Amino acid sequence: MAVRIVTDSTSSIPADIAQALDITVVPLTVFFGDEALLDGVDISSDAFFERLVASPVLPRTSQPSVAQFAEVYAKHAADGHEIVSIHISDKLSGTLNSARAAAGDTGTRVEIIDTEGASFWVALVAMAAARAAHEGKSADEVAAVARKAVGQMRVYFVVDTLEYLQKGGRIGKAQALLGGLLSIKPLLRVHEGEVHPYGKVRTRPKALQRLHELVREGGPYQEIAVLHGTSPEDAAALATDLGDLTPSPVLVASVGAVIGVYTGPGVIGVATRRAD
Amino acid sequence: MPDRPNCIDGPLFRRLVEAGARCVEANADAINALNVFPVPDGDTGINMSLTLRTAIDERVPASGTVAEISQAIARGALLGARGNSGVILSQFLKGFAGALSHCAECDGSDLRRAFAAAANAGYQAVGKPVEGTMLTVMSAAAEGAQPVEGPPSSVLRAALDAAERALARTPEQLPVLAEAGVVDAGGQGIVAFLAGAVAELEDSEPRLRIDTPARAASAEVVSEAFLAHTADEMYGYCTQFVILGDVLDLDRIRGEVMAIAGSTVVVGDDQVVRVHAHAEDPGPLLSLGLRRGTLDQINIANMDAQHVEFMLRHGYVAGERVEIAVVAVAPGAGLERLFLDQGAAITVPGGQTMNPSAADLADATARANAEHVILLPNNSNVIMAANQAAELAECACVVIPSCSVPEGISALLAFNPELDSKTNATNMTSALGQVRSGEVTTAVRSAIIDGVAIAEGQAVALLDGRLACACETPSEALVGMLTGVGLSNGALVTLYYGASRSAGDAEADAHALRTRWPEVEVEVYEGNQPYYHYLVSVE
Repeated sequence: MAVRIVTDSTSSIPADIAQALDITVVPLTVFFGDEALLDGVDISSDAFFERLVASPVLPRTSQPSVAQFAEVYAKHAADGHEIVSIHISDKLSGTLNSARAAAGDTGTRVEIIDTEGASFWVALVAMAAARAAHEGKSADEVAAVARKAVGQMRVYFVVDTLEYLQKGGRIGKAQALLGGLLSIKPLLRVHEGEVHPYGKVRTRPKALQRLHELVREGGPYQEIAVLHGTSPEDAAALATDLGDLTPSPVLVASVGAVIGVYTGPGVIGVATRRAD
Repeated sequence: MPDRPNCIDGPLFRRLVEAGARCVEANADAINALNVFPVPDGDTGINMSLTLRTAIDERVPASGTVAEISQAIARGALLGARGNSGVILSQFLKGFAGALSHCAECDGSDLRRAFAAAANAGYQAVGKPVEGTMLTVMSAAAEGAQPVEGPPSSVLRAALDAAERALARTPEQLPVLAEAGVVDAGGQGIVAFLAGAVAELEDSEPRLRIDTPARAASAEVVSEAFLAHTADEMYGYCTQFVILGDVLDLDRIRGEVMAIAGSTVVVGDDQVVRVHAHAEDPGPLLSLGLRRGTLDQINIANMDAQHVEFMLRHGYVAGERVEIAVVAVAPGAGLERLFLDQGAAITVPGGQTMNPSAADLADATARANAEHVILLPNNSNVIMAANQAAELAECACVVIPSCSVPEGISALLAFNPELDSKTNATNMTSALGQVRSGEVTTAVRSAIIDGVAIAEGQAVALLDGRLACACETPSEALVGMLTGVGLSNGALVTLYYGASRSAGDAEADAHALRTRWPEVEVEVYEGNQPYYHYLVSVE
């Protein structure tokens, strides 16, 4: 009997990493009108942002169904495994509710973790848990590793506009930044499971500089991930600049379709897991 | 020969300070004219005389010991200090009073000690003392007084003589003064103050010669500065107007205004009188003006409405204390709106030519009703008064030394009410250096600065406090300054247009910039600041 790690597609976890660490990713769904697309399965991040920019209506998203989780959990249970299921903050998505509902009927132990974060924050927690699982740790131990990692996470990100967060109903405390006279680029963080304002800058180069400074102030880190919508060059440059703050390679990934619905294409951010 | 006392008692001490203050006030315009840059800026003569005016107000008892009266004067000066020169002056008075704290009366030796203490206090108030300034002049006065064995009149006379000699040497110590052809304005203020006191003691008229550079005849620039908003009351109507007439009685009008309004500033001459006052009802003020002459430039702002609007916008509950708040100095209604919009709790009107006093700033920090207040002075000549206000404030108060409006906006954007005051101070201070600050105004006199000839009336542009160019029009000066910046692709230029420009003017200038630099973003906001056609940030 082993422990298996399950997460959801809002973790933005790249497929190769998920595969290498044996993490099962349950996709959310993004809808363009009536067309339903499984996040990361039916539509890639790049393809999504192309459609997002061209789409006259804002796409909608929906959490994975209970059945989706039940299927994944049942498979692991049938193989005789216990499960640690690691997800996006329940203040940002109903995903955890589906996972919890599915966990009840599984016939094996399912430990559900609310990471109180989103995107690569979730992925870094899932990766830490997966490594512990590979070392043969028990479900309790793996869950403890995940919970400890949650306490070590930070994410700061910048969006070009708050419009997507606002229309998607995920703006949280960043509401305070809406409707200003001065045009600004909002600097945000996820804090206590919600989007909070962190500061404001006036230009994208400054936003990148500020992200860099903020991450540098909090180091050193076990892991750093730079996430973006459609700015691979900016993300790669930021990753290079931050390389000295962690012994692991800095990961770069795009946020994926579902997160992209709420951030818009201009998003760039850094998720960090600080040293023990 | 009048009677020269061997000792100065409390009431005489007060009379000497009053006489010094009168002499500074009488020469305020001439002292203002000693500015290095020929642009409207923090006027030294006005700042020193307003500082002295609050030093000797009704809180100073008519009778008492020298210790009591000098302490009361020093306290008033600390509160009323405006501009860097006013703050340094207030520190002199504090040092002076400190040395007299045991004196019922003071003799010559007490005075010598007080001069030394005053000079010392001045140096301590300034982070990096520069010679060739009022510090040097005060220090010379103290040194001149030291060897004198004699009555107070001899000590004071020696101090004045030494101060005058030191003043004359200031251009040798500070090359900018030599180039502008002036002596140090703050030092001149000290000399005027001492000259007034000496004349009072000697029962003569103050003898003072101030060589000022040729200056625009218009009283506008000088007098308007007297209209420095005093933001000590947030309620009622801030009422400003000009009375025009042929034989106006300035003193009488001042008395009448003071009888019915608060925060009054009444200045001018027998033909033009400017009035600034706060009143519950602006009607009687206007009627009063109409009885004396015709009215012009009437401007009435409802401070209640401003206050209520602010409270509503920011969801404040009356009386509810917040953890952390920002107080920002803003020189115009548009800029006040921008600062409030970006999360400042309170704005204090002020900037170039209208430096708020330490008390104005301390009052604003109290109104912010917060455990921690972060103060943004937004003008290099307001920073010292802000520091003084922080010391006077009852809450924990930090000054972020923003030298300009663009720096202030940049710092405010880095403010996060969810973070503690120390983290905010660090973040906001590091944001200061991320923006360059430009200004476009009109030269108030002809001058040669850094080898550039400037004619009175020309548009001049400054970049980060240094002269950038002088041109015929504000539009040209704007382009000239930005050419010197070396704009990179993706740079953002923000224009805050002043009261002298219309929205159409500003848009036309912005369009010209976008055409010339297609890779640069240009944004335009209404600033309403006086005298400055544009405040510009480049980032």
